[in-house]
Amino acid sequence: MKRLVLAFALAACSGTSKPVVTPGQVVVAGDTTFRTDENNAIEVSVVRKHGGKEATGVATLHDMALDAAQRSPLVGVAAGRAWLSLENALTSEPAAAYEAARKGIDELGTAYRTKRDGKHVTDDTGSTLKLAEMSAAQGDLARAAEQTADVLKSRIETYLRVFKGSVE
Amino acid sequence: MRRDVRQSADGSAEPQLGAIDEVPSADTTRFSSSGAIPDVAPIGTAAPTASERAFGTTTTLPPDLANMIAKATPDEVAEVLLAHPQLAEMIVSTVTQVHGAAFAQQAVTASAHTLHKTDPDKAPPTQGASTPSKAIPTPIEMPQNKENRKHFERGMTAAWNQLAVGTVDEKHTPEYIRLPSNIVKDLDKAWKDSLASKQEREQGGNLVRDSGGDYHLRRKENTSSRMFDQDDSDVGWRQTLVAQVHTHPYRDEAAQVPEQFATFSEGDFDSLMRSDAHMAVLRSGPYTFVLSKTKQFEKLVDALGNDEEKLKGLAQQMTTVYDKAFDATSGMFSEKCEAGVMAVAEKFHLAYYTGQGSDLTRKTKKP
Repeated sequence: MKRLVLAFALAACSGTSKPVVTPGQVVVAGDTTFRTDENNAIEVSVVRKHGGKEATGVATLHDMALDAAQRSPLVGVAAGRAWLSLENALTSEPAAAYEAARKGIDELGTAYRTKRDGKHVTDDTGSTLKLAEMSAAQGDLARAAEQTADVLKSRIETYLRVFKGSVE
Repeated sequence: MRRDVRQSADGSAEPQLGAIDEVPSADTTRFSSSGAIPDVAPIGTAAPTASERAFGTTTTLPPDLANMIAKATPDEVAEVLLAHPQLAEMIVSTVTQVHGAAFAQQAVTASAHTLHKTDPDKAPPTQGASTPSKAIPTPIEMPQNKENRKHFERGMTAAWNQLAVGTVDEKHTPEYIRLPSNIVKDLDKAWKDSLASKQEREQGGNLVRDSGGDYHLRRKENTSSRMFDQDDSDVGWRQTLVAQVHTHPYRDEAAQVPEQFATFSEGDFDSLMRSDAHMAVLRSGPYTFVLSKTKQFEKLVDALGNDEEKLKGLAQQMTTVYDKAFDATSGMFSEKCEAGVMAVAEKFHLAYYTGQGSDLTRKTKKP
């Protein structure tokens, strides 16, 4: 009986403990603000300016410590959303819209190209970015912006899918 | 995240295609009589070579055409092939005699590439058809003689098995491979399904081998046009993972990609690097493309110790090489992608195959 109790106790103790954050903490790092919330959530808001416009992108990170959140590639989701908003706001200025979308792609990154539980993403969106570059080279900046923004949106969605439970 | 240690198979474990050259022929040259050495026949009406005697090929090209071919470059031969499709077999045979197999392969490839091109002034072709075209029905070295052809075909099947069961040394990668017929049908179906909805969708799954040596494609649903979620663990009981499979539809980009097909993207190399599969198999348009890992490629990846930052670094190196070759190549989108794939495959020790239907030819050179 003692052994059984010990086994239960060990099993309970060996479970991976998730970091706990205290609600109400705020950290400002340049244009990025981290706010801790209920249920181990950290709201990240990123401000980006381009072409005379300003946009804020928000993402919520889960189950990570505040200092880990500041280093997390998932912050790129908030930045990507900010750039996507700017791209949408700049559709009347195709050159600026295209640049905003490109900056979003750069800042978002491709951390979703990782292998988790035997699964990984085959990502062909790079081909669409090449088509966007071809559009831009031919002077069709509106099309280039649209293609790049499509990729940006698709990659943000991929982050949410691959890191489900960690970012939304 | 963990990469399993893969079973490796030595190149000598399976018969090599080159072995057919050693098949004894009933017509083997031997001294049977003495006398003067006969005159050398002019090009185009040349005496049969040992390979012709073995495989029964004959050439009766018009002399003008034969003389022209003797002086032609691969690109010029490609034009002749396009101009005289009914004489293609004899032209290739003559070119092989005069210039060698490598030159002939170059010419056939050039003609095939020209076939890919679409007149930009004309409407793009419909790619909905699942039946591949027959521009290059068989490898150019396919023997005409029935018995030797059988040996050759067995060699291609063995070569596929060789790549499927283990990782091969790059020096032993086969020249030709033959995909199992049921897999070709499955790829046709996957391609058709890629274009079945209003918005194109990449299709794919895992190509697995069962304990009986049969191959199966385990399809997975997908709704994205440029992403596909691979799952190495989707393998059935007594099945092993052989290849990750997906499609590249370009129907919705026909304005920029009138050919409506393209080979692997830079992201596909990242995906293959992370996968436990030996190969990546891609269907796009009428073409099937295969990237096969080699021992040398695995050594590169294994040396990174599954460190995510180092894996990203290698992926970035491959992307840089791809992008450089892509940008440096003029022409259609598919040609630029092809240049990218060739550059990465050759630099990072991957064997690259292309073809239509079941028979694929290696495009990368052996070291």
